Amino acid sequence: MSRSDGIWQEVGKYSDRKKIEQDITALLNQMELFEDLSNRDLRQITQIAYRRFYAAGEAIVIEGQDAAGMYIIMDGEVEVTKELEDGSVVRLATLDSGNFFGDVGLIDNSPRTATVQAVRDSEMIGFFRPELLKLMDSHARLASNLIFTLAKIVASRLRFTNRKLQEAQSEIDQLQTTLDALQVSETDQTKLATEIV
Amino acid sequence: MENQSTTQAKVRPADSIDVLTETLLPLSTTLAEISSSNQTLSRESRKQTQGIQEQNIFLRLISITMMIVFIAILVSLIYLIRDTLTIIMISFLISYILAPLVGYFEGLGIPRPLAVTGVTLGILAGFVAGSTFVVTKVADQLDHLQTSQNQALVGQVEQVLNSLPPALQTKLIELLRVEINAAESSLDTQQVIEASTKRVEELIVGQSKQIIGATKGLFSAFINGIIVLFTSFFFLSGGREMKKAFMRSIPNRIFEPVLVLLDGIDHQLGDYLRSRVIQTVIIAVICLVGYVILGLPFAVILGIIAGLANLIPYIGPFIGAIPAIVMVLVGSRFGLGTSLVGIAIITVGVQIIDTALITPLLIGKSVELDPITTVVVVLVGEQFLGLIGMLMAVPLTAMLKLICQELITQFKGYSRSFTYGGS
Repeated sequence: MSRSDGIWQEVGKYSDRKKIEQDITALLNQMELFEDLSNRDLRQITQIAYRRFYAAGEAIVIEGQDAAGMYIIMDGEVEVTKELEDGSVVRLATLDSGNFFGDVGLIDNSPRTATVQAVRDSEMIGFFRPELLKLMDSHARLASNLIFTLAKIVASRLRFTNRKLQEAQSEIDQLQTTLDALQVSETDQTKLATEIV
Repeated sequence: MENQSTTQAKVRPADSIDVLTETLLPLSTTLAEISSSNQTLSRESRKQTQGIQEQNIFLRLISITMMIVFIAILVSLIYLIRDTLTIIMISFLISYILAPLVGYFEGLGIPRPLAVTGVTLGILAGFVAGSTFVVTKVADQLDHLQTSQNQALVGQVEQVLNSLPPALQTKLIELLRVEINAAESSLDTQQVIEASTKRVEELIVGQSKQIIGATKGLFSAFINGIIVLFTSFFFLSGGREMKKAFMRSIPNRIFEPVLVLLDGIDHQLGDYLRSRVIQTVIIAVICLVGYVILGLPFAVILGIIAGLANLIPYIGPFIGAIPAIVMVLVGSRFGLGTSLVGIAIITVGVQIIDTALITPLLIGKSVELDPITTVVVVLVGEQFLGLIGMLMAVPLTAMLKLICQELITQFKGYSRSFTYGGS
């Protein structure tokens, strides 16, 4: 390989990197998490992003492991599963391109609450807490915007979970009432049977 | 049942013993054969085990030898390229120290390449200005010292000569003859003067050579300084890309733990290095103030030396005080005794302030090294890189300790989370 080939290869790599960065910026631009950020801010965010490739069946995050950040699915499909106390595994969701997961990992390092596995060969964009904290030092406004949006998403999820919990509670109450009514009718039936006998 | 018992009763005891003996004999023979073959087998297995053990010991010896050879090659390689390594290490440390400043400018909206260039140019300007100031100041002071000393010496010689009787003056000329060359003691006064002039010329040539040597040293240090700055520039501007390139080579399974580990090391190292810089500056300033009060020449340089020498634990402060003691002999505001006491007070006082206030507040106990390790690493540093090695030995060892601590912490957390996750 001549020297000029090496130079052109480097130029090629540089332009590839620029193209990838543009693709990532375009993807981030469409996401709720980054909707309040300017293009310049998005380019900054792209600087701290890591592009990772996962083969089908490979785990991206593992339940119980300390969280370090979040992932956006750039291309591919993943499955979110949870291990129950009896050891059985339940599937919680299937996510595809444009979706993200593990966002709470950007805020703290508490253990992951579910396992995420690639269903087919997938390309991810990862953002990690250490890099975000560094960004806070140099770009405080950008980082606070991002964390505020993240907090809004988490709050909205919390509201959704609360609503679901309330619904579940009211269903339990209804079931309890039905059960009580059934028990009363059972007692009545027993009394009636005793009287007949 | 009854028939059987009758038949059994009819068998004589002697017959049954014969039958038993006949049955047992082949059995005992077989047992003996089995036992013998067992013994053979066990001997063979013992031999085999011994062979395997010997083989294992041999393999272990080979691996230990190979490891020793590898370490020796590595150490030799490090020793061979120690100058380049020193430049790289210093550049790395400088880029680490300057990184927050670049981050600060980035935060003000200045693009990173511009921020890095600005910071590097600022440091370059400071370095050039500092070098020029130091060189000019040293040259001025040396010139002043030489002139004043020469004048004082000439005056003193004139005074002495004038006060001497003519007979003693002749004797002094004789002594000069001896001083110039014992073999040429038959020279007349004119020749003595000529020979003295020649001697002075020789002395001047010798001094010029020394000055050229010193200039070469200064020039080389200046060039190395410029190289260090450029390398630091590349570390600062390309550091993020270097990290990304490294992370690309990390397998997915351990990607997150490695990222967290690097961040932990980065934090600890950054904090430690910046603390050491602040510590050095504080000590240099305190010493500078003390030396200025004592009226020592080159107080700024003496302060910087004291601050830097403080990086070497235990003996560093005393090494740092030596140039100040030498300068007391050259000139001071107070008498020799008072100045020496003053330097002792400054050195001890700075040590007390450093031990009681600066180190606990800035650096903390986590990176403290025990005295034996400290002495050993300082000696090893001296062996490898001389004075720079002595200065860098403790910070580098402390950095290594921090990296190991962080590795252990992360590894424990990683294995715990794996156990918790059941994967």
